[in-house]
Amino acid sequence: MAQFQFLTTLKKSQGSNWPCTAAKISPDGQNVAFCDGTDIEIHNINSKSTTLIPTLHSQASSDLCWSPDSQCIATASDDFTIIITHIIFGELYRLVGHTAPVTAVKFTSKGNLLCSCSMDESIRIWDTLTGSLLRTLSAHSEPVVSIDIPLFDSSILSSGSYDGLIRIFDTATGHCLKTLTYDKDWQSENGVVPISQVKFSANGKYLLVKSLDGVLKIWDFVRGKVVRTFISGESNSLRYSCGMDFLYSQDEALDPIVVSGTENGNIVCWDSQTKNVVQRIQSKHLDSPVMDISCKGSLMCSLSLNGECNLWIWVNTD
Amino acid sequence: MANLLLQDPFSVLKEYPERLTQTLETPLHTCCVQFSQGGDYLALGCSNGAVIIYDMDTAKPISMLGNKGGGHVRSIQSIAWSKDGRYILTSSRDWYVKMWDLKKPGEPARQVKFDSPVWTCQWQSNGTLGCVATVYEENHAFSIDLESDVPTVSQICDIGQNEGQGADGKSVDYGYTLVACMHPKHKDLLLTGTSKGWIKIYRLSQQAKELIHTFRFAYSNAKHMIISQSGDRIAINSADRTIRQYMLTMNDEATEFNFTLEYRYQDVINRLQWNGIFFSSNSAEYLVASTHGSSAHDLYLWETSTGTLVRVLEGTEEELLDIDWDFYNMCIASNGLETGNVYIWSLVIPPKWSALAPDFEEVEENIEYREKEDEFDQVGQLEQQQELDQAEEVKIDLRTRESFDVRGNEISFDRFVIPIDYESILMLKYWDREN
Amino acid sequence: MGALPDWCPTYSSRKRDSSTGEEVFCICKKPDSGELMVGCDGCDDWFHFSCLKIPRKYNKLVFSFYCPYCQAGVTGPGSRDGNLPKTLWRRKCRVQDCFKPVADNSKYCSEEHARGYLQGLADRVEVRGYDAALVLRQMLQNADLDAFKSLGQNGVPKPSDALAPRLFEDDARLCDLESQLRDLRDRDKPQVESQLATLVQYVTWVQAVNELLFDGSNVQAAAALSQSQKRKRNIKPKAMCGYCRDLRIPCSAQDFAPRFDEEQLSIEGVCCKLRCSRHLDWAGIQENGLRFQLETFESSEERLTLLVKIREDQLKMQFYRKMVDHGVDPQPPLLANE
Repeated sequence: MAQFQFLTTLKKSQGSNWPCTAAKISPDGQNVAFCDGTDIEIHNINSKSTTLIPTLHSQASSDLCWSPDSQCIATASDDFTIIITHIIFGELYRLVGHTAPVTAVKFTSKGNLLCSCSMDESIRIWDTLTGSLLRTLSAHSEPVVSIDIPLFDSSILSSGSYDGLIRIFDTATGHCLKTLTYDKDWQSENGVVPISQVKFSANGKYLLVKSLDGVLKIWDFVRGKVVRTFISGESNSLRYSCGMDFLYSQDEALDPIVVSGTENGNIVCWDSQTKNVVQRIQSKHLDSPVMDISCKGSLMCSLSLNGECNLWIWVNTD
Repeated sequence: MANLLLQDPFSVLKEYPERLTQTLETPLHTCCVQFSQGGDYLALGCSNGAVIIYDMDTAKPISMLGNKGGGHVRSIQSIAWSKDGRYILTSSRDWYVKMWDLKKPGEPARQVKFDSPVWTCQWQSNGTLGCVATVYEENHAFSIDLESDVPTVSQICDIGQNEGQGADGKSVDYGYTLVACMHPKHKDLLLTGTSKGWIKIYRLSQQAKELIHTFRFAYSNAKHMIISQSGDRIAINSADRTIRQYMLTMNDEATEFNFTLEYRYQDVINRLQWNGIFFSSNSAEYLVASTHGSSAHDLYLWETSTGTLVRVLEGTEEELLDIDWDFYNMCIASNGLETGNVYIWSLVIPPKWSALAPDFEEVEENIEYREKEDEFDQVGQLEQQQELDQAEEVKIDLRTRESFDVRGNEISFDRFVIPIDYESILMLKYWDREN
Repeated sequence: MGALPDWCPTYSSRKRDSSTGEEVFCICKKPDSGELMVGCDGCDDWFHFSCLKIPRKYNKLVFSFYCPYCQAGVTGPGSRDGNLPKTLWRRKCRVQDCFKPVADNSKYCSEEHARGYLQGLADRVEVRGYDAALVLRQMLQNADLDAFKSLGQNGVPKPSDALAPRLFEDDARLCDLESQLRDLRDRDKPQVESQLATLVQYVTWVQAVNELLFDGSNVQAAAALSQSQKRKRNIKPKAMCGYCRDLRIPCSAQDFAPRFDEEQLSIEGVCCKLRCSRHLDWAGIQENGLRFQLETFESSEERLTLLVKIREDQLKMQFYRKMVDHGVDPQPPLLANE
């Protein structure tokens, strides 16, 4: 039996002046970064030291992403811009172009392209070497809140938006390749649910989607069919896009775990193959929505709206 | 790769590119072009010795080899990428063969100096870092071992046999070795082409280099020699303005060889030389070539099984020299003689409007809608639910990656990503700030 | 003729109301009802502020006023000599809400506003832990006006050794960069320069041999050390190739020349072929290679100096930031995960 065990609290909650919405573990597994208002705070997991890197954003940032070589962090802010900061050298580029707060950013696995989506309903693709805009995709009819790119394949990009659509785009040409859901449902009032998070599986063949009715689904996007559904038992209309991620344990024989945060501070873990609830963590993040979950190796980092950030480790408790 | 699964299969599976889509305008005069394995990067060798690497995602230059010293000073003759994309071999008219490690592209990791210009250099795929180089006016090719810091060079010459003796005892002058290529399936076989029209096949091993077969294809220079990925088709571009396409068959132990001439490609009207040739992937269904002469501006594409011309790739206004074909993105790159620009032809797949909703379909013509008998029947909720539940029982695999893409190319190897040079970004910012 | 604004009716020179006989003014042609009016310097008529859409608060800022008709040239000096006059305004006080005109030689209407504005600026200076006024006073006390003006132009000042002991010496990256720079200057450059010197020496020897062997009048040797010269005829002068792999001079030119034999390909490692195509331009290639190396060294030197400067600036800024945030004890800068 394997479960999450609490490791340490990286940051205590602070009746916040800024809501905290993004915490990510770096690809090399050494650091955890989260946005503190306009600044970036980096915690080193082993040495437990903290570094604060200020950025020139004029408004708080809502999302951040590590570059694949773990040397840069891109922050998406409400001031309509994205800043790429090198953790040693400082600010590299400021990407200007969106006309509304930027909601999410993601680097491609090669690190040379950065994709961002925003409340202006578009997705933009930037070149990180020169800091210039390559392409703008007009994607949706409501704010786009989440994008993801498969780990080994930077040819497609998936986006989820509040208009209920999950779309897959070709990064090279910007064409829409597939739409998985409808944005109008003639049969029922609540047929269309806004999407809050999308995430590809490690092999890029399946897409995990979370919507604002608390339901998580794994889609086989090539055939356009749902292959797994996970219901977390929350209310039908949520306010926050709470975090979720896959956990791939070191043991290859075990199936990946789907980890999802809820609005009342719980963290629920399902086995992706059997759909059983493996663990329900209720001990931390009391009554504050879990805004982001990031997994790397056997570590998981969870962040709630009040700023509390905890680190967990997946261990075999036998 | 996954984008190929979602697009129209007829467009995706086209076997050759059709339209000129990009022109890379470089300030330097390009002599040779080479895509990396996987099509991520394009290396351009220029006539002043510079080697620039372009990132094909953004179509912008990202690296220049030899920034910190040790670059070539005469025109580059050939470029070869290693399979994982980490090392590049360049050979140039300045008598050097240099191996570059893309982790530190400022200086060459290894270099070897010969006594005269080096024509080609190719990787040897026998596990260790090694390459085969052909040199100006040398009877034999050279094998270079690049494992240790100081490379060792040995001539590929069969010392056991007297190479000057032909099968019938008369002395044979094979001429200078001009081109060489390794056999893709039998990793120890090396084929070389000479200036007097001979092909020599060697077996390379730790102990010796054995000459196992010779074959005369013509009476003039071999300018280029290419071999298909499956190893059974060979094309030779020779100085008598002909491209000869052979089928190479051998027995299982690779001791007996047979070259069967399939077709000859000649420009009978203008009698022009061919500048460069390249095969398509796998068993080389297609052969593309560029012609010499100021009036020839196109690439010609033949189907190798019938020898007929199937396509002419146009769009440029100058003579084209070197050709490279990227099988992963299905694009062909070629450089122009006068301007030194690089032209890229690729597939243009139009956007599918049926992608905008889950159940849209593109139809050729209007379909009269006929209501079915059971159109408005209330389908049992239970049955629908059962169907969905069944779909959820099927086992899914979230971890294993695909090994081949739709076109049959291998995608499971780890591709080296050239690290971003943050120092140069910093310096550019500082420079902008100061001025 | 200029154009009248849209809201301005066409000019009427009527000065009196037809029914009451009272004097009428402005574009609205109404009698004086005590409302705020301004006199035009061109036609002596009076105009209401509200009719001309001028905010009341600007009334102290008028310097010389011309009505729309004068500005369009319908009346006034414009109609006579064609130069259209324009309304001129006084400069207003720098304080945002104050619409009084400035006093002489000042940006403010009065001394209270002047003091108040600068005090507001000082209050907005955010220096955590310090009293802004004290900081400003401190800066101005040791006032060298020129030094104050040039503050910030010469880059960030280095903190004294008492404040930041070994700020530069302890930094690994800076030391690494500096050692690279030293290696470049002391080791690599001299090496290449000596190689170049050897080459030059050898080539002069080959030239000497060629001069002895063939006509001295034909100075162009095939192995000449120079940029390519345009030749009008393709006939190259006869000259020995002279390529030797290790650039070793076997003996003096005089001793070598007699041993030359056209049939022999190489004597003591020196290639003797005439019009050798294999080693064509060997000296040019080698020289280019070495000079190119020297050029890249020079640009490397510039690049390293710039990087050293950037790193020093970064260390200084990090130190100051830590000092301000934490008071006294700055933590070491984030180390690279190499």
